[in-house]
Amino acid sequence: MLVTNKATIVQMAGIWRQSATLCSQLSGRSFSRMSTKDSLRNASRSRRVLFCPHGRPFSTTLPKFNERKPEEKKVEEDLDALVTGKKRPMAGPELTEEESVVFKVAKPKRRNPLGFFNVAGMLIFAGGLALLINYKRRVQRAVEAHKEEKESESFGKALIGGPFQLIDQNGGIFTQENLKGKFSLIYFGFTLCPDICPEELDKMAIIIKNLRKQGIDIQAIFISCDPIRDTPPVLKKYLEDFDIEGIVGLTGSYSDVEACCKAYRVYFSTPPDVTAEDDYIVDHSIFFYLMDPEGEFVNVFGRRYDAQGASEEIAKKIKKWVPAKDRRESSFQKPSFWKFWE
Amino acid sequence: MAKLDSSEQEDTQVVTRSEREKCWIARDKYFACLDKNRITSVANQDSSVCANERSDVDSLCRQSWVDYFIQRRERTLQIDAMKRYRTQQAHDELEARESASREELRNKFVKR
Repeated sequence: MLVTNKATIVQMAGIWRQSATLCSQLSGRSFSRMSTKDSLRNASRSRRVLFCPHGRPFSTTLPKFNERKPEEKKVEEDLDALVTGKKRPMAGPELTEEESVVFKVAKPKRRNPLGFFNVAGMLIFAGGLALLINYKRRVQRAVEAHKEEKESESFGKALIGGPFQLIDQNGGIFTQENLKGKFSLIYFGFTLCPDICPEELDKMAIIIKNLRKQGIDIQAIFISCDPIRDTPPVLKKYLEDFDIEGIVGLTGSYSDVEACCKAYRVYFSTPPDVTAEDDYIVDHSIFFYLMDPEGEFVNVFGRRYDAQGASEEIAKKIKKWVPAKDRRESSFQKPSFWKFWE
Repeated sequence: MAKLDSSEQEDTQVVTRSEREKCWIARDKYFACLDKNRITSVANQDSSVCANERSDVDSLCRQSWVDYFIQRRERTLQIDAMKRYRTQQAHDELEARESASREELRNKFVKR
């Protein structure tokens, strides 16, 4: 029989604490060091037990054994929770506040599917990459265009065009000065042409219409290679058949027409000594000549261009055209990196 | 033809669009007849073949035009025939070369 006085209680508290640490060491689970207050409390609790032994061994000396083991208690509690549904199976051990603070249980972290990347960074990277690719493509395009321009720049202008003096279908004088101020499309032919000249003039009508629709001011000129039969009234009547607004029909004396054809490098087969009553076909080169507002030659279009192709090509050339004084060596302009819309 | 009327000094010899188109239609009919009868060269044939069509053409078109159209047709047919002949030649040559190489290959195996 032990005398339960304060000294004994303190001793028992000490034993309790030691056994608790021993137990935790054995079980691998560490509990926080119990404060003296707790130990004392536990010791006083066990006091009651001392007086009613349960027939357990060492029940008086080691009241700890008398109590249901904390693990057992926990297991029972867990089972109750599982059954009632308060606790999920396979959940981690329920730690006290202190324990959870001190001992962080390794919870399986939810992994970021991107790893250490983040969305914002990836977007910026992708945007920068797209910008770079776009820039490279634009540079390549600019280089190609510049190369094409350099190649198409001939050594000096083609020697087509020059002074001429002819008469239009109304009897007025028309010279190379009348070409200035607007673009002109010139066709050489003759009114008694079986099928080629009418076909080409119809094509010209479509071209002129297309260009005027785009707001380009262009005048159509028909120069006769058959001056002997094509007098101004004849030209006037002939050109009425074609739907070309403001078309100018030119003719003149044989020598004037010959000079003009020579200036434009046009071949024609009319001999000088035919009369108006003779029936003959004039063999001539079939081209459209595009002249600029300064009366200079720009480009020639042969029979391989259809109406659409020719109008597109002409529109392109007109858009690219600059007056002679503003013209300078085509230099390569590097595109801007940031202005990706250009 | 009415066109060569020298009494009208002002607009002599202007062929209008409608007249041109009539001429073209007659020409096309005439050429279709010639094609049907497989005539390439008109000059060598007798004038009984396709005579109706020819008379239409002669009445609706200027004489220079008729000659021009016929000459052009002949030239075009000649060029087409030459093209076909040349392509046929090329094919034959290719075929001969290929068959020769095939023969060689066959012979190789036979010898073995």
